[in-house]
Amino acid sequence: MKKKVTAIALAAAMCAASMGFAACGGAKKGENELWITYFKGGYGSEWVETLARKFEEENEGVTVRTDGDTQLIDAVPNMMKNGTNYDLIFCHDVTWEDFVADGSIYCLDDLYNTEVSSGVKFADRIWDEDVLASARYPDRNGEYHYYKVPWTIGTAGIAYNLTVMDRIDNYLAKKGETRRWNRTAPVDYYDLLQYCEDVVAANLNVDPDEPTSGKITPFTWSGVSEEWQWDYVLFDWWGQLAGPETMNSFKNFGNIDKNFNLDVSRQNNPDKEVYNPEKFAVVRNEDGTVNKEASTYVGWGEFKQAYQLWYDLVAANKSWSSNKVSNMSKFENEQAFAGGYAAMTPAACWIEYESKIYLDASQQEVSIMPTPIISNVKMDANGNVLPKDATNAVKTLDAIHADAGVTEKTIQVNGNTYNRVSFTSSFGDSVMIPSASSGKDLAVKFLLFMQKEENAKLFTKLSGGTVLPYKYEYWNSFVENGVDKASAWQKSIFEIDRNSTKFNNYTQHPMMRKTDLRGSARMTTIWPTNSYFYIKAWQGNAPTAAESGLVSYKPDDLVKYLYNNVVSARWETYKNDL
Amino acid sequence: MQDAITLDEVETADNENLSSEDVLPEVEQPQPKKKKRRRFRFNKRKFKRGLFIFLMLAYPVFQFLVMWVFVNFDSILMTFQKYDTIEGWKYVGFANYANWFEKFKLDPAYKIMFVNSALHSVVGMFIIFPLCLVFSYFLCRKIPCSGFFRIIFYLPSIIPLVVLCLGFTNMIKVDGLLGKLYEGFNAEAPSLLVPPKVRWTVYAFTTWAGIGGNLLLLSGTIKRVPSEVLESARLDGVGTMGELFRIVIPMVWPTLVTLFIMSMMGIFSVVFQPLFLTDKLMDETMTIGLWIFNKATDNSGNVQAATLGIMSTIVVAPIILLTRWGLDKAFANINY
Repeated sequence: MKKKVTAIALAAAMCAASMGFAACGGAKKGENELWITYFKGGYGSEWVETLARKFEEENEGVTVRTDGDTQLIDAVPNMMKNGTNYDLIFCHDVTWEDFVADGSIYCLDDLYNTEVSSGVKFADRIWDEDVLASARYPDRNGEYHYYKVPWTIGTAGIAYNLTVMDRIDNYLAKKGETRRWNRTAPVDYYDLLQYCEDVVAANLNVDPDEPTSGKITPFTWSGVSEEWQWDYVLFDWWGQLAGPETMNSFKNFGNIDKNFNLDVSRQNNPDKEVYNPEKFAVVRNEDGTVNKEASTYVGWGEFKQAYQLWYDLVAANKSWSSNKVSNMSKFENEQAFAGGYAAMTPAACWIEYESKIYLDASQQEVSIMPTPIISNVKMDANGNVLPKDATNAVKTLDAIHADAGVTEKTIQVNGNTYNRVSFTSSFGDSVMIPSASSGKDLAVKFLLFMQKEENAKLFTKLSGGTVLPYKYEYWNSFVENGVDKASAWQKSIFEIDRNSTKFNNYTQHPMMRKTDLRGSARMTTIWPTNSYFYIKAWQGNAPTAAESGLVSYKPDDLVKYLYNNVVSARWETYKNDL
Repeated sequence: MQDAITLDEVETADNENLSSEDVLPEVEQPQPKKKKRRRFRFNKRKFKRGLFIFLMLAYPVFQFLVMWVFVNFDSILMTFQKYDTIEGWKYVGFANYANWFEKFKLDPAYKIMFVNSALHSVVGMFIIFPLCLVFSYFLCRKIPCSGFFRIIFYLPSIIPLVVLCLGFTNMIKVDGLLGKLYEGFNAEAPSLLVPPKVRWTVYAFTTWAGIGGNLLLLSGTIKRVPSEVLESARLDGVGTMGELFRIVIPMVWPTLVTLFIMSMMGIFSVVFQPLFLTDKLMDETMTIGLWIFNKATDNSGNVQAATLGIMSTIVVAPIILLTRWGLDKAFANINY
């Protein structure tokens, strides 16, 4: 009897243990089920729940199941290779190209050739040619096919707290000065410096009624895990100085065709001079426009200048950043910014939605400014930024001027007309259909449904202002009964997107995708080997043992070290990885 | 008494007595025994027993075959290949290994990674392990509040690593408990989670969290040392340290060797601690395990990770086996 009981108990224990083998989530019940999984993060869940219900209403008999996952990026490779019940995967930073060779990602050529309205195909609905090109990949015969649908067009810049700005203006008014800002973001680099100086001069307590609540600083940022968000600002400044064409050349190692797209025939011969800080990518005409014939678009000189601007703004003014920067996590930083502990933070479009709970709690209002224009920024012989009224400037940095007669996507600053550029964040966000999916037709149908004007607007509205990569009137997504209910943040995002030439860091060049030079999700990174130096530069410590050969984190030393010790010295090993 | 006669003698006698005319009666020669066919009898009891053993072993054997044999075989195979996102997998011979040596020469970050991992092993062997031994010994000597201390020491081993790291960082970060202490003295707390101090912070954490791991095992082993031996030693005037080094350690030597060897594995077993403590990947705190985890996100990364894993195994495995062989020689004649 005792042995029987023991045996039964053991069998029961084994059964319980083997429950781990059971497929999570169960199985589909029929053909008319569409399963969607999505990254649950800054865009929230409301958009997919609402669109799913709407899709069900328009397609009788169809059931849509939606599962959000904050760790989806880790699960996607396994899902794609080993099968999944999901028909649609919405995820960020997915290396979908990995799934092409083994056929685990469904080819979407038919989708892109589908006519969505009279004479208009799905491919024609995509934002622009650059975005369209990012969705295709070559097969073994060198023919390009579509394998994904881009998910979002992100916008980045510097987020600023409007409530804090009001308090700064109040301080200025009390001093007898004019209210300088009036909720208008700094327009150029010197404006940004001025705003920082105003914040410091105001010396305001975070809580006006609580003297021990701390002082408001110009900047807060997460030095622990999100320092890379300064890249948004750096990409924009680099783009202003060298043009989006240089970005395309950089991320493709100079192997570009006349349209600045990757020239596949040359990709086995990458040019490391794209990292050379002594070379300037563009040659300027007298009027500040680019001399297209003389420019090689290869070189890192403009990048060094952009980093110098960041260094002089942030690292050289240590007290302008919160003293907790070194230890602040991503969420602590969002909380601090939303709570009015700082005037600004580097950010991308999803931050407002992600910080919603903190903003609701603090009752503060925020917006996002386009990265201020580099307009006649004076520098000394060492490349340090001089005051606006300095007379001993050796050099002047100026963003690329618009060509004569060009009025679109430009900005007028200090009497000059500059090209207005904006870096597209979240370019790695992708929508895919696994080959193992049993509901591919429904999945394609959902994608066609999602690109429709009213549904795309619905996504934008419910995701806090995130823009889909389609041609639609996203700026009207919050209009109800003729009234635009978009927040200041959302309006700013739309304004930036409508009036800027967008560029991105996505590349299919194997040097950036296969070697240690690459960034996360194998997107292009400014910094070779995806090593960041913002927090180290701000802290002002000596370089570490791993940075043997680096003298300091100052722009001149850092970019030279990166070019000589990181890129050039290891170039052959990188090429061996190809 | 008549002496017993041998068979040979009988035979000889028989042969001598027989003449050619003697005819022996025919003796029926015994037929070779036919093998009786056994009727198969289904032994229910034996069958049930066999089935039970099979079922109990099936899962672990399956696990072993899939999770160890297949995975390792596949990993080794992978190190001789490269993945191209267009062409797929292709064999490249020893190119991955050759490239690794080049990277190691040129990138100081890789050297630091190996040094970090080796130091974790050293910390495990010469700090954590001796501390664990000493604490186990004193706990077995029933010092006051030994039960309480046993729980305190073992607690980090049962708390999930993420929670442990979170608690630790909240203690030591600038605006954490440590910061408050420094505030009390009007001083600024050091930043222990950023370079260059972060490296030592990770070692401190692994020491603090690692002591309890072997505590229960060692305590149990030390308790098995016959009390008569210890009493006798005390009567002979052996002090505490003498008891530990001359009696306890020799008697539990096999267990100590096993645990020491496992401490050596610290070179590979420190994986997530640096990441959870600092919330980011840093060259200064990188270890082999963490590097492999970080790399193994796609096929190209898997190849690099597998190559490093195999190379590390080739280097470390002989050292561990040699150490084991050497340590087994000591106190080999002691058993109880």
